[in-house]
Formats: sequence, structure tokens, C-alpha cells
Amino acid sequence: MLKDISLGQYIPGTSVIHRMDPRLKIVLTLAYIVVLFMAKGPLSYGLVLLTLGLIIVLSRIGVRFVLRSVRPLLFIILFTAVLNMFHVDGDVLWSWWILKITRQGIETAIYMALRIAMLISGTFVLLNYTTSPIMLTDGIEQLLGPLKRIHVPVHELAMMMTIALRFIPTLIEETDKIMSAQKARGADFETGNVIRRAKALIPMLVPLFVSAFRRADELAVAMECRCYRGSEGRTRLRTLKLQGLDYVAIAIAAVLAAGIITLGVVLP
Amino acid sequence: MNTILETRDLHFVYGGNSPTAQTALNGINLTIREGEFLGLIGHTGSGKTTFVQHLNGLLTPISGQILYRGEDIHANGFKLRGLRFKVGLVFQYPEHQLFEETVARDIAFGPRNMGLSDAEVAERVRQAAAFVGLGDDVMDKSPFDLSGGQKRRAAIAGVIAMRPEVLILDEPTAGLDPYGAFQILSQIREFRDKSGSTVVLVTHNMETVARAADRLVVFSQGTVAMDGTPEQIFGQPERLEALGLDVPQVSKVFMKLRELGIDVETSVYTVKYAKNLVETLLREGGQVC
Repeated sequence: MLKDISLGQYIPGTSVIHRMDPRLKIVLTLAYIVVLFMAKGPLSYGLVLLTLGLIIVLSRIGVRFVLRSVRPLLFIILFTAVLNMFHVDGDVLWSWWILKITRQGIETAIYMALRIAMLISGTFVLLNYTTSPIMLTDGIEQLLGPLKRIHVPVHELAMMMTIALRFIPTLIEETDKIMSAQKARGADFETGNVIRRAKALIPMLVPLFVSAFRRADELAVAMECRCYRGSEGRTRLRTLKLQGLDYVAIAIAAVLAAGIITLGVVLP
Repeated sequence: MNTILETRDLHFVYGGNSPTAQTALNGINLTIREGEFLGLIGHTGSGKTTFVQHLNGLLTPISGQILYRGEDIHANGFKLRGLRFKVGLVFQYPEHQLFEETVARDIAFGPRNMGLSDAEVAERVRQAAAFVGLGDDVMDKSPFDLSGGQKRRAAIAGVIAMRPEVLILDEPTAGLDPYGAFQILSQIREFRDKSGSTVVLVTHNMETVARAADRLVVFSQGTVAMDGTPEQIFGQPERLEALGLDVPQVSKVFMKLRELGIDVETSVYTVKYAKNLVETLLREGGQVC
């Protein structure tokens, strides 16, 4: 079913990670990525893994879900790893024709695979799984706030993003419904050559566009009825404010980052 | 009467393995007999819509069987697409599925998918349009230029034109004014009487179903909670209330009369029957009041 393509993968919850300020989460995710690329050697990698483990445990999202986020990229991870394995010079362990595997190559491959896997699972847990799309756009809007000075319509962009995100599940549901309705009238979306299949999409696309435009129209009217006129003078229901929890998170993150950088950059 | 559709211990869950999984059907055993007018009622979220989408194979149950004339529809070699022409399903708000340039061509979509000849298709379109009361003047219009009620009719005609053996309608009167709802319902009844098709009407509106159906099935939390004739079902108002449903207004009036000590039946559910009853009571003498 189409519903399984989960774009908004937010998993509702009340864990400490869920409750953190979205702005902080965005900043910490960026920091996590930067620090991840500074890690080098088993000790610092171990510490990154520990950090990731801590985040996963605190978020109370099952490991199964975290692994699921990595699965679509498994091929890229393996591909990168294999490419690295054959490409790095060093102590030759095995060779055949122009191919050779070195000890350093295997090491690099493992580190590379780990790095990509940790990058994806970390950002997924911090941003996708534990932050609702609305919170995320709220956070982005506030972080980009300073750009308003140079006349970037930050609020309008964030609002468009929020609306788009909000309507993705609705449109998927709608597509599902229309497809079912046409199938009930004998529409056939699965067989035939490319041209036939493209033609078969018309009974689905026309109603979908009609309903998308109708929804957009209704939404615009509803917004105007409630006097929406952009960011000017607009206050918020939820003002984002750093709380005790967030300061604790900053402290822990700082300690961990310092540890990883020391082990990865300074010590080896 | 022969059994046309049967379900055995049907289970269905939305959202598969995710933490937000929701059980929609929890062991449905139901037999639909040929030619009957079945009313499927239940509170929002009781699984009615999910259930009817199983009957033509749009949804596949997690466990359990659906039998069409004794044949398992998910067995190897069973043609599901063929089944959909025999078990016609009109979705909720079917007007949202209209897409063609003209009303006539939209109604023809189903019959054309059946691979019928042009003449046969044209004949079926004409008949289906007549059944739902769409005049020749609208047939060449764009379906998007019609009124809400007309759109609904055109969409229903699109399924009727396939001449299904079983016609399933999911909330066909939702969002229509009372007169429009009444008309559509009468036309569905007329279609049933003329074609001999089996009709399954899904609704949560008691007045609708009381007038039309000869058998009622009440769904609750993915199971069949009650099954019987309208008299039997509406004769148990307390149970209906416990399931979050209501009895028709006339029934309420008669229940109140009984509470006041007047000896009347409680299984009254149509205005026509109630009128006869009251007239007889009055004729028999004023001592009742």
C-alpha cells in the first residue's frame, strides 16, 4: 500500500528527546554530523557509537526502527565500503590481476560503512522520528530568523513547508482512495506496456489534481477568514524557549563532542 | 436464498508492524444472501468501510476467507478484476473519482473496462443514467460542472452501469440534503427491485436504513454485534445505544408512548407503519389517550 511510504515518519512519544527544543535538535544534529567526520580510530568511533546508543535509548524508539532507516541505503553503504576496500594502498593481504585488498583498505571500508550508518540513524532519530514536522519547520523558521534582515521571506517559506508537509499524508490517502475507487470500476494500473500504464494513470491523476486544487482553495479561504497575513505582527501559540532539559542536553553533547574530538583528532 | 458472498473469520489490521497499527476487523463471519437488501450500520470506526473493501478484493485480509459463490477470491487463479465487475462498490463521496470530459464517458469507464462493444456500453450508460435520474441534457456536460447531488448520481451510475450482481454503497447519502438523500435511496431501491441485484448499504444514519433494508447487521469494533431484521434490531434500543447508535425517531416516539402506559408495539421504525398504527389506535376508541 502507498501508506507504507512513510514520508512524515514522526513517531509520537514523550521521551526526553521528543521534548527537546527543535532548534536545539537541529543544531545538535549538525554538530553530530561535523563531529562524526572528525572521529578517527576505534576509540573515538566507539564514543560516537555510545552517543548514538544513548540517543536511541533515551528516545525510546526501538532499535528495529532505527535499523529500518538504514535499510534503504544499505546498497550505497556496501558499495562505498567495497570501493574503499580495493582502493586504499597499504599492506597487501590478497591480490589478483589488478585487484588487491589491503589491511588499511578493510579498515577504511569498515569505518566508512559505520560512518554512513551512524550518520543516517543519528539524524533519523533526532529529527525524523522524534520531531513532528510542524516542530521542525518552527525550529527552522526561528533559526533562519536573522535572514529576515536581508528580506528573505523566512516565515512564508516555513509556512509553505509546513503546509506541504501537512498535506503529504492527506494526498497519499487521497491517492489511495481514488486508486481503489477506480480499481473498483475495473481500472488496471499494473499490466500493459509503458504507454498503456501511463494512460491508465489519467483516471487517478485528474481527480487527484482536482482535489488538491480544491483543498488549496479552501485552505486559502479559511486562512483569510482568520485574518492570516503573513509574518507581520504574528505571535505564536508555542514560543520556543530553552528549558532545563535542553541545557542538560547541551552539556552532555559538549562533553561527548569534546571526548570524540580529543580521541579522534588530538590523540592518534 | 442462495449465498452470494460469505466471509469467514476475517481479520484486518491497518499499519502493519508499525507502533500505530490499528485493528480494523476482528473476526467477521457474515453471509450475504442473493437478492437481499442488507443494511450495514455501525459507529464511525467500527470497520464497515474496511469490511466492504474486502468484499471485492481491494483489501486483502490478514487471515480469514472471502467466498464469492463458494469460491475463495484470494485462491490462485481467481480473477479479482472480474470479481470487481460483479461486486460493484460505490465509495464514500464517489463524486471525487470523476475524471472524464463528459458525464456519459465517465459512466462508461466501468463498462468499457469490461471490454464490451460500443453499442452495449452506450445502452448501459443510458440505462444507468435513467436509473439515477440523470437527464440527457447533462450527459454531454463536464462532470465538474454538475451540482453536488448530480455528481453523486453520475458516480453511482458509473458503478450501476457495470450491472453488478452485488451493489455495495458506502454512505451514499452523506452530505446530501434530506430530499436528495431520499431520492437517491428510492432510486437504489428501484434498481434493486428491477434488476434483482443484491444491495449492501453502509451507513450510520438509522432513518436511511430503516426505510430501505430488509436485514440489518450492526458492526462494533471490528465484529458483528447484531444481525437480524429491522424489527429485531430496532426492538433492542438499549443495545443499540450501548453501541453508540440511535434508533429512528418514530421508534423513540413509540417507546415513549409505551412508557406512558399505552399498549403499543416497540418495534416501529417507519413513519408509514407508525401512521397506520396510530390511526387504528384512534379508531378503536378514545380510552387510550
